Amino acid sequence: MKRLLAVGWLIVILLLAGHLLWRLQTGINFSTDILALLPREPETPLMERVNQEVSDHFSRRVILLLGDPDPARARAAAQELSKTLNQSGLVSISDNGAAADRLKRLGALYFPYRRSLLSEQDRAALQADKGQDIATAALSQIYGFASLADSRMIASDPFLLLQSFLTHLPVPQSRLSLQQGFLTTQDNGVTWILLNGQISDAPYALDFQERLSQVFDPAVARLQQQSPELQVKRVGAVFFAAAASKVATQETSTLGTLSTIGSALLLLLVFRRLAPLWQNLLVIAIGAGAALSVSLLLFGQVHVAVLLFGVSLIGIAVDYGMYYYSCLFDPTLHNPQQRLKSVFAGIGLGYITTVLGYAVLILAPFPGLRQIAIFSLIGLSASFVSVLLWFPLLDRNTPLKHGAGLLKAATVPWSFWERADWRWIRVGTVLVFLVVGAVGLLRLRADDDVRHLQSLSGDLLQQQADIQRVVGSLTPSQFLLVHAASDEIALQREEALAPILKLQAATGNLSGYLTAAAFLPSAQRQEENRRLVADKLERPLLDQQRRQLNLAAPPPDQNPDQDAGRLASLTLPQVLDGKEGSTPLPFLQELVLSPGTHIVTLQLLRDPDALRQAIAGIPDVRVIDPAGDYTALLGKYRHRAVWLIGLSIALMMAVLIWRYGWRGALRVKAPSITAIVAATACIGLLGQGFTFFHVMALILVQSIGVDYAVFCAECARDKRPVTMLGVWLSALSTILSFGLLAFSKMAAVHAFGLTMLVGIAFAFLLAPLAGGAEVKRRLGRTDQA
Amino acid sequence: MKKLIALGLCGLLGLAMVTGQTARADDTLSLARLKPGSVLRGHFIQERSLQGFQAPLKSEGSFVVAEGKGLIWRVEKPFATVTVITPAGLVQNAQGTETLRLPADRIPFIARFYEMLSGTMTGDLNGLTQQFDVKKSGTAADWSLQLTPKSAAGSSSADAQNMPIQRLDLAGDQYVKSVDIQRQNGDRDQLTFLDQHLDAQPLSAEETALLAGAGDK
Repeated sequence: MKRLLAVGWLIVILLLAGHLLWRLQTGINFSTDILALLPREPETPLMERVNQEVSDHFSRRVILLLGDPDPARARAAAQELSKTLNQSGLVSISDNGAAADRLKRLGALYFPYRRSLLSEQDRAALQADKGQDIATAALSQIYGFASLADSRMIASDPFLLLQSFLTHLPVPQSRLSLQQGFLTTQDNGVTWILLNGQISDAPYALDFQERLSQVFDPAVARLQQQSPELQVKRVGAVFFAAAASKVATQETSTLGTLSTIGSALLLLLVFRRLAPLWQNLLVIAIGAGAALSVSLLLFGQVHVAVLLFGVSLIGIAVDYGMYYYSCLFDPTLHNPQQRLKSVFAGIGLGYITTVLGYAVLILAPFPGLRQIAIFSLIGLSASFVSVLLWFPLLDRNTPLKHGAGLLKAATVPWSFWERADWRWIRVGTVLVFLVVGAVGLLRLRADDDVRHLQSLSGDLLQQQADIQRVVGSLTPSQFLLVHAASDEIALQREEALAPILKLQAATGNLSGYLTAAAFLPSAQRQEENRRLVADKLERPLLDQQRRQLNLAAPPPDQNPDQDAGRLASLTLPQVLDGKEGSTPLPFLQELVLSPGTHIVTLQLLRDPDALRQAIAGIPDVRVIDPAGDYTALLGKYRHRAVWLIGLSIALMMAVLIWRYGWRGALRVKAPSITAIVAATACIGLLGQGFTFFHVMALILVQSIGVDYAVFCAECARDKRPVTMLGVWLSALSTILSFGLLAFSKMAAVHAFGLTMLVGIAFAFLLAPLAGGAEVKRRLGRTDQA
Repeated sequence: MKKLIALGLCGLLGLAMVTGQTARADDTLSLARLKPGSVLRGHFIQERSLQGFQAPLKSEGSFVVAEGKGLIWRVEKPFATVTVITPAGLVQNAQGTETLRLPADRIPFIARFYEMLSGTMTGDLNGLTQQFDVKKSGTAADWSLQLTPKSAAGSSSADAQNMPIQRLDLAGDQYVKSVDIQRQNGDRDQLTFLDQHLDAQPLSAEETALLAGAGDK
């Protein structure tokens, strides 16, 4: 019967292996977009699309800054790098050639509509019926030093309304000027040239990062070889993402190698033979292979992170093997059947509780975690069944004789809790931990700020700061989304926003903002402006102004085309398309996503909530703060994850109460709950912000931790040393696979690893306390230790 | 926008040269030397002849050049305007209202312009010879200079296109006496300088405040 089951299981595994091989042959499509793992806020599809569009656009932007003491060499390097990148098709560097006569084209675009375009100051003056102020200011400027106005301009615009509008345009401020076709600035004797580009794919796609670095890095190296003084600085989401992936890959290989070598050494040193090692490896391989095979069947594709993380979760499966092989040290268990019988209740209950712990992860809001949970459940189950069915058949060992010292040492944690003469040490230790723990818990504070989790590369942050210093402008990181029925209404909304934003900037909540309406007033406002100009300026003051300027009336070169704006308003399509198909205001295209859907870029918004309140009265407008949104989301999910812990404790308690009764269940559950509290206190003691990732680790701590307690509860007094050795081995191997993650440079992974390290250590040390639980109900026939 | 400003500033250039005692670099010119900390004061008459206008626009006023600090240009008639240029930027006030402010930290061209200006003051013509061909005539004590923009070549054609000045004529002795700026569109600015004197009196508190207020707000 047992052989039949074992053979049946072999067939299942072979089928799954066959499926996996076939999929490998046809090419498995691993998804690598890290964003796919993150949760999405439930939104209307439209909002989601717009959000996506905005963040896509800005996340695809790259800025390169090339600096050389020799301006000619800087230009040559910029030229060559642009060419290389453009030819690669991975980045398109925007051409500044068209920027040269941009001002001329801007003037040509606005000129016919000069009566419709008023600067804020002039408009306010006319509204206050102070047209004379405008007239005098214009005269002063025309007569004054450094007049910008030439004869044609003065003749057709004697109040200099257009000049005032143009000089007050909130053009994105920058220290760069166009020199020989390059955006250039000088700083400390170095000529810096700025290249703006858009990458052609999502910045988080690992293969794109790889292809880009294969083009970019050699190109820069080649340029720096030609000109050793050349500096190249870069900023862009893709570079940050690539640096993060690089760190992740390096860590995966170093931490992964350490963990594998550590676990192998542990098994070899303890058992002094190869069988436990290779059989445990086999169990893990079967678990991982089966999980991958079934996940591919279920999901079609598997995320790389799911693969990496899921495999380490399946590593828990090694515990079953550990417990089984610990029985080799028990001289009373002569054959494999007896050994299996001795550990069956323990690993069976351990399996059930761990499955419950992982199952709770399925309820976690992150699509990635859900996949990881399903992947791990399948893998864990496959490993568990393999241990159950195959280990007794594979096991040819006789009881081991060298374990006396090991077993003695293994029981130290147990003795600690039971020896009468250690009572005062025990009480003292517990008191110390209680006090220290209380301090830690008091110091605990939540920190959901997603920016603290990003652990951005310091070198790239420095380059970003350098670029900001040299260029003098910032990339916007927050936005207002204006989603209205038409462009006209969107522009009106922006005009309503302008005074609020101005006030927010004046009070320091913002450092800058850019609206499309500042460059193109709504038709409504343009008409108002024309009326103001006609009624308050031209009718009362035009003749007088012309006389003051010795200007004949009417102006000589009046061309009807140049006066189109007497009646009509300038429209958004006109501005966006420009006169000869290229707009003089290219950044406006970033502000207008589609008709009626505009964004307003904000620089360094400090308090998004204050802004939300200030704009609450304006319809169709909302604040978009991607980092803030993720922060709020992580906070929400951190709360939810704490509830998941409660839920999984409840689920496990149901099983434990059935087995041990109320009091026994509490005894068995207490160590893992204490471990959760201790790990939380430790986070507080270290001054780390408590994050979603800490909580996710706590879920695992309690589902793994309860296994240790179950083992201690299940074993008879005379089996304690052997059981404790098994718990030792599984705790050490868990620490080797998860605790090592505490050394990760990535904040989220570090948080996870540290919590596991402390939590598992406590769960292990406290597990013997469950030893007193009394078994009330039996699992079945085999459950007779 | 920057181009517009640059355009206007190229026009300024001629004036800056005057007030900055341009051609001192050249030993053949006998211009008075400005020592650090010294102050040059004088009066000016400006005549703008604009195409299509019936008569030239005349204005007059005074100027102050404080070596190392900047310059103040006051139009007194017919409209009071004060323009201040310092390394920190340019500010113009018309009858008490600010009409123009170009801080150098946001518009580096201003800083470059000021560098050119102060370079000229200390006798460094490099800033100008990059943009203009210079032709000298007359004697050291009674000289004139004719400046024409360098012809456009290669990728810098865009820069040259935006150079609004067609020709710049300067004449002087110990001080610059006159400047004649001819623009591409036929407009012409003629400036005459009178009563120039060095170090007659130090900067007043008001002048110091004006020079200090030219940067970013």
